[in-house]
Amino acid sequence: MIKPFWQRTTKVTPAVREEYLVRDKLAWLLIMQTVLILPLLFNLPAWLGLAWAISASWRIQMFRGRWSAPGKVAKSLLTAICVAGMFASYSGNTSTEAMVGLLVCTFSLKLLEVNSTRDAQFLIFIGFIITASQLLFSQTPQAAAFCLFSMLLLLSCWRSLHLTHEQSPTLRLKRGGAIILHALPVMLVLFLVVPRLGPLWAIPNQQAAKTGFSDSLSPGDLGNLALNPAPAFRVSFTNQTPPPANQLYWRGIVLDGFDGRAWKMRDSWGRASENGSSIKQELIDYSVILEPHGQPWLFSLMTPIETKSATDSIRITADSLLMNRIPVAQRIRYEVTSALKQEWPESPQLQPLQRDGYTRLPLTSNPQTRALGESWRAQQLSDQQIIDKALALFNREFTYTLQPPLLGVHSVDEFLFQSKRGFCEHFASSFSFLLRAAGIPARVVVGYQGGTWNPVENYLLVRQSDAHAWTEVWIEGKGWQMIDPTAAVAPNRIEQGMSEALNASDLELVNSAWQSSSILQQLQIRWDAANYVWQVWVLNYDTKTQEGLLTRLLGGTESWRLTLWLIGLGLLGAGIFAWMLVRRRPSLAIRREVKAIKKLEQKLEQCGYRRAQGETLGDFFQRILVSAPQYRATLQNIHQLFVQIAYQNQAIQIERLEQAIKQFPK
Amino acid sequence: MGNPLSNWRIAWENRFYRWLDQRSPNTHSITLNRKNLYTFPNVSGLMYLVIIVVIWMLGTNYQNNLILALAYLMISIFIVAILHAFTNMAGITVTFAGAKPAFAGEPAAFTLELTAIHKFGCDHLELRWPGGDTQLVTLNANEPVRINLHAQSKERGYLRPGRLLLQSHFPLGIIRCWTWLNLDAQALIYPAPIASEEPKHQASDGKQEGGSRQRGGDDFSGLRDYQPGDPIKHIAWKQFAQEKGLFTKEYEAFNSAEKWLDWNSLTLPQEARLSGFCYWALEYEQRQIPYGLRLPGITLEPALGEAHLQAVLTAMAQFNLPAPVLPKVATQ
Repeated sequence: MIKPFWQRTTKVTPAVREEYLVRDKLAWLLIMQTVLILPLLFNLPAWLGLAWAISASWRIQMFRGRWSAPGKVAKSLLTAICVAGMFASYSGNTSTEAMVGLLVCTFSLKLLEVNSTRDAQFLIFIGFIITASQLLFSQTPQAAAFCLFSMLLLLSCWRSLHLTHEQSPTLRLKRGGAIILHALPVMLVLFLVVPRLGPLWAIPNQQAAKTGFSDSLSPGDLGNLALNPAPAFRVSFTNQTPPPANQLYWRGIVLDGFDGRAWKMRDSWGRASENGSSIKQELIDYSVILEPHGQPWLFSLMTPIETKSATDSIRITADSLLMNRIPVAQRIRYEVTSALKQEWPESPQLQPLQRDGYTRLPLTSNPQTRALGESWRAQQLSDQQIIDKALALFNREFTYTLQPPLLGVHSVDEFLFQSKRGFCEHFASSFSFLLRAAGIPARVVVGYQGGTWNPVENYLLVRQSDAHAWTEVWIEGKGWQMIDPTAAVAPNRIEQGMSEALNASDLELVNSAWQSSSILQQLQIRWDAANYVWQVWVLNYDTKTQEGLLTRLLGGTESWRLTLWLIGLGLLGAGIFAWMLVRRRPSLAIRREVKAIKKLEQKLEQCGYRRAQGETLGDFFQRILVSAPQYRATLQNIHQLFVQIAYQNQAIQIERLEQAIKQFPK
Repeated sequence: MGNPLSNWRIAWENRFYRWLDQRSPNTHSITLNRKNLYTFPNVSGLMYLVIIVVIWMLGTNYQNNLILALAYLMISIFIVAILHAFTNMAGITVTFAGAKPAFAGEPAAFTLELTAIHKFGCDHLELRWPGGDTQLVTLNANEPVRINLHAQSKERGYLRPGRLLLQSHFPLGIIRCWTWLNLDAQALIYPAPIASEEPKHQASDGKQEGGSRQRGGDDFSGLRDYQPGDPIKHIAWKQFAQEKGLFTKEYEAFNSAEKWLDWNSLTLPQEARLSGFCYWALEYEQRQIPYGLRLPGITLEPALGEAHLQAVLTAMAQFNLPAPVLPKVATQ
C-alpha cells in the first residue's frame, strides 16, 4: 500500500563535510603526489618510485571498482615491506635520507586509505613536509623554483578538495597561485625580520655525493675534472680585488705518501718544528662559499691564520689546511685571513723522522727516475740547483695536454723518459718524485688554481675544471715553499687559465663541455652572478646579515626601534586592509548607482528636465511627472530601486536599476 | 535549581545572544559583511599550525634558509586563508522568501534566496537551522539561488526556527567563517495527523464534486525542475541517468459525500482533537469527500480542494494558540 503523502517524511540532504573523493579530486591528489615525490627520487632509493606507482595504481583500481581496498593484513604487509626496504637501503642508519624515505613511504601508502576529503587533507599536510624535504637535498634557485611549483600544485589541490564550483584546471591553478601571491609579501617580511636560531638538537648526518677530487692522486684524476665546468666555490675579497693569478693557489689537501703509482694522504709526520713563529705578511681577508663536495677539507690561500664560520666547526691543521669537523654536505660559507708570505726570524727545522717521511719512496718503483735524482745528488748540487735543473728539464722537453697517453707500472719513468706529455698531476707527481729521489723533502698539494672573476657581483668563481696539483718543497731556512712545475711547462695555465695553455685538439675537447660563444659566456657570467646573489642573500642570510640589513633599513637593531617599526608596519597593514574593506562592496555599488542616476539625468536633460542644485531625486521626479505623466511607472520604479540600494543596503538591485535606466524612456 | 555553573553558562549564553541581537537585528534580508561574519581556525587549522612548527624546526635544525622561508610562506598562507575565507562569504545577501506549512513533528521547509555579489561567488556554503540538517550550496556571482532549508517542528502553531547558521571552510578547510543570522522567518505548523475515531457527522446535502486535483498524492503527474531541498526519493533518477538533467517527480490525487469536523463530535483533549480532525481532513480530501470545519468561533463550509484543505488546516493550526504570534510573513 502506498502511504498517503503526509506520512512520507521528506528526507533532507545529509551533512556534507565528509565528502567522498570524486574523480577530479583524486586526479589532483595523484598529480600533486607525482610532482612532489619526483625530485626526491634522485636522492633516495629508486624503489620508492615503484612503491608509489603501486599504491597509485591500486588506488585508481579501487576508484574504478576493480580492486577492493587493502585489508588490515595487506596494509601491514605493505608497511612492513617499505620499512624493511628502507632498512636494507640504509643498513639501519637513521640518516636524513632514511627519514625522508620513510616519509615518502607514508605519503605513498596513505593514498590507499584516503576516502574522504578529510583524509585527503591529511595527505596535503604530509605533502608540505615532503616539499620541505626537497629543499634538504638541493638549494639552487632551480630547486627553489620547483619547490614553489610544488606549493602551487599543493595549494590548488588543497583548494580543489573543498571546491564545489565547476572550475577548469587552469582556473584552479590560477586561484591556488593567487593564494601564494597574496602570501608572498608577508613571507618576505617574516624571512627578513624573524630572528634565526641555532640548531635545536644534533641532526643525523647527511651523506652528500662526493664531487671534485678524492684523497689520492693518480695520473688522469684531475684530467677528468678539467672538463667539468661545475662551480667548486666562490670567493669574495674584502678589498674587492683578487690577488694576481700566480698567487691564487687554493690549497685543499696535502699528499705526502707515494705508493709507486698514486699519491696518498699518510698519517701526518707532525708539524715542522718552527723555532718561534713566523712573521706573517701580506694578509688578505676573503670569504668563501663552498659547494657541498662530500669531503671534510676546505680551501684557502697559502697560509691561513684565522677562520670563522657560522657553525664554528673549522680548524687549521698542522699543514696549514682548513678542515671541517664533518664532510661538507651543504653549501657553507666561511671567512679566512691568510698570509701570502711568511718570514722566519729563526730557521725552521724538520725532525729527522719527518725528513725521512717526506723523502720516502717505494724501493722498486720507477728505477730510472730514482737513478736520475740520485745522480744529481751525487754531483754535489745544492737543493736549489737541483730544483732549477728539474724545472729546466720540464720546460725544455714537456708538453701540457689534456690527452696524455696511458701510463704503465712505472708511471713516473714512462712519463719522464718516454711520453713527456701530461697534465698537472703528472708534473706535480713526477717533480715530487724526482726531488725525493734527490733527498729533498717534497709533497704534492691538490686544490684549485685561478678562477674566473665575475665583474657583475665582484667575486671569483672557481670551477671544478680549475682543479690543480702542485708541489711543496722544504727549503732550508724558508720552510715549505710552493713550486708549481706546471708553470714551468705551460705558464699560460697559471696566468690565464687552462684554455689558454691547451693546443687545438684539447681545446675542442674542452669547448664541447663548455659554451664558448661570447654571448653564452656573458649569459653564463650573469647566471652565475645571480646564483651568487642567491647564495649570499637567501641561503646565507643569517643573524649577521639580518642585523646589517635592519641597521641599513631601520637605522639600528635596538629592541625599541624594532618594536616601533613592527607596530608601524602592523598599523599600516591594518590600515590598508581596513581601507580595502571599507572600499569593497557598498561604496562600489553606490558609485555604480550614482553613475546610473547621472546617466538618467543626462537623458532627462535632453528631454528638457534639469535637476536643480540640492533637489532630491523624489522632488525632481515629482516635478517631471507634473508635465510628463507617461513616465510615472518607470520613474517610480527607478526611484524605488535607488532608495533600496542607497538606503536599504540592497546592493543586489544595482543591475535592475542600471537596466531600467538604460531602457528609459521606454 | 541547577548547579551554579550551568546557571552561569545560561547567563553567559543569554548575554551572548543579546549581544548578537544587537549586532544583527531581526530582518527579512541580511547582507553578510564584517559586522556579522566571524572567522576562526578549526581543528585542521590547528593541525596546519603544528605542521608549520615541524617545518620551521626542520629549517632551523638544518640551518636551511629555504625551508625556513617555506615555513614563513605557510604562516603567510594561513593569514591569507583567513582573508579568503572572509571574502568567500562577504557580500552574500540572504532573504527569507517564505515557508511551506508542515504537520507538527515533520520538518518544515523554509525557502531562502541567496545572492553573492563577490565576483568569484561563494563556494561550499553550509546552511543549517539549529538542530536541523546541513545543506550545501554553491553560489555564482549575481545569480540568486533559492533553497529549501528544513527545520524540525514540534507542535502546531507558528514555528520560529531560531538563528540561521551559515558557514564555510572554503578555500583551504582550515579557517571556519560563519555567522548566525536572526532572520524574521516563521512557518505555519498544522496539527499532526493522528488517526482517531471518525468524527460523528451530521447529515448534509450530498454535493458532488468534480475532479479537483491536489498535489502530493500518490499518482504520478509529471516532472518539474529539481530545486535544492526536494526529497531524494522524488528525484527522477531514470531521467538523470539518461543525462536529461535533474527533475523532481510530482504526485497528485483525485477526489469523490460531505462530512463535518465538528468540535463537539470528538471527546478528546484539545490537541488530540485537532490532530484527529487533521487526520480526517486529509483522509476526506484523499477520498474526495467534501468536508467542513466547525470550531468554536470558526466555521468553514464543506468543500474540497487544495485551497479548502489549506484553509481548514490553517484554521486548526491557529486555533486557540497559547501565546499569540503575529504572522508577519505571508506563507506560501
